[in-house]
Amino acid sequence: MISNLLNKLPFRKDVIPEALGIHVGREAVTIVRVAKLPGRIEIKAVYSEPMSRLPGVWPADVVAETLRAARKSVDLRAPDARITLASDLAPTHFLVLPPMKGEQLRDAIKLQLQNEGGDNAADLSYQVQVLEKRRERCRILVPSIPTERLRSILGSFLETNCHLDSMEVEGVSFANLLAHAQVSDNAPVAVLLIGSNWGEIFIFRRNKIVLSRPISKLEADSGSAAEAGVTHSGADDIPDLGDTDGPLDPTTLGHLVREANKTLDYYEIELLSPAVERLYVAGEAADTPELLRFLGEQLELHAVALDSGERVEDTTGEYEPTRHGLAVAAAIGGSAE
Amino acid sequence: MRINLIPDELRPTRASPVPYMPIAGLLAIGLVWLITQFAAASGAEDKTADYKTELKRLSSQLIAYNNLPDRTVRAETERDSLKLKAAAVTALTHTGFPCTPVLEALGEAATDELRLTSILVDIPAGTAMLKGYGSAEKADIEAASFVRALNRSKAILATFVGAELNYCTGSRRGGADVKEFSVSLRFRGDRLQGMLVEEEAADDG
Repeated sequence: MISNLLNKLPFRKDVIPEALGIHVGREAVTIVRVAKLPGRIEIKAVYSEPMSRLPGVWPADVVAETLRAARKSVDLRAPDARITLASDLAPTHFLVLPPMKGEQLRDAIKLQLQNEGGDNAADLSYQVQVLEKRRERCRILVPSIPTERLRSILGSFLETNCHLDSMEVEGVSFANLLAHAQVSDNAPVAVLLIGSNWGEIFIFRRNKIVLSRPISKLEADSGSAAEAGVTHSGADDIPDLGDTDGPLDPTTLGHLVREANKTLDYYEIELLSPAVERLYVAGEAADTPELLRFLGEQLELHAVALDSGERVEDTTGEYEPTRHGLAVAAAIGGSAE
Repeated sequence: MRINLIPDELRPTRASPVPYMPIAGLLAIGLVWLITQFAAASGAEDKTADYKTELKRLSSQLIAYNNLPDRTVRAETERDSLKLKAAAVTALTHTGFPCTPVLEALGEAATDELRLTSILVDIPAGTAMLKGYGSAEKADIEAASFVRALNRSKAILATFVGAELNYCTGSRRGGADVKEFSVSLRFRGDRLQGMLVEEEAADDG
């Protein structure tokens, strides 16, 4: 608040706050530098580099090398540096608990995390946010990260003189991006993030993430599209998207659709929530028309490529919302509830 | 949504301008104070220099004032002496004694070796007496020459009958051996008569 006040002083008029947004995904690192102008974001620099790593492993050496390379095109020193992490690095848990507060709530969450993650839950750094209260049950969002991994991540960035101020997860970043783009209203929307051999579906309502589910190891499922539950158009309708591996491969695409459908059904039926009306697709191939058409038909949703909206201006000519949107989302950050 | 997995203790402490504002304020005040002190010191130095000059001037004045009593005494002595001389000249003028031609003649007659110290005029007695001194070796010769010069001087002979050496004897003056001499001059009768008449008239007046 005081910083905002100082920015309004006459001698601070021309100081435009800049922020660094970093997204460490499963297959790439993206860094954007943005200027936070009143009511909009201006992208000043974009750096994106593929990064090969094992799920749930923070490759400190690879990251350090990537950051050293990034430093040549993006100034990593910023008054506000924010990072968002893929769910394999910082898993998000959705817990259902009876209404409780304080130490009782903390103990209950710890117990739940230990049930899910074993003894390692004792060394987790996590945040808690109540999503909704229904009767005698509360749905609680708990993004978490092992403390040792968190320290390792901070150390990797410190080596390049980049001090991270904030760390969040992809689901929260998507929620903030959709809120900034003013597309998320009362009706739930979903984002399907598609990688080379994995995917993740996120569901949002009222600018909050209400459910997310990773769909990993797509190649492990060798079932056909029909086996995967593609019922509306049939396996023959799976588009031929070229000689590619990963989600554009018909087999894995079928698996992705089936798992996404399961998640949407769970959200609507088990959680007694309104139906999702729109699907935003993110990832390398998200803006492929055939893919969007196919997903829309299979999931019975209006599927569009993720767009960060008109309030994000690109001055670099390199910005692609479907690939770099999460880094921008990290830079945008969230407002206080 | 606002989520931050970094615990408070691991978040960077960025330099906020807020804590620096009071420090900057204090520095600014300190700077102003230093400038003020510097200006005051410069002013004080200028004043000190002025005071030193004034002190020097006053000290010299004080010395002069301290010397005033001596100078006053000397001035008073000189004043008294001048008064006496003025009185003597006035008295001689009243007697009709021709001071100027006689003194000029004495100056011409006296050689450089001799110093005349006094001239005593005794009008009732009709005499005048000169006293002086010269070097121990030559004063007697010079005094004799002086007397001869007086006896040949028209200005002297117009007033006096003649001059004769009374004595020329050895003496000490200022730590040195000298010879003091005395010369008597007798007024001519006609000049003496005139001066006596004028003196009586002055006494009557």
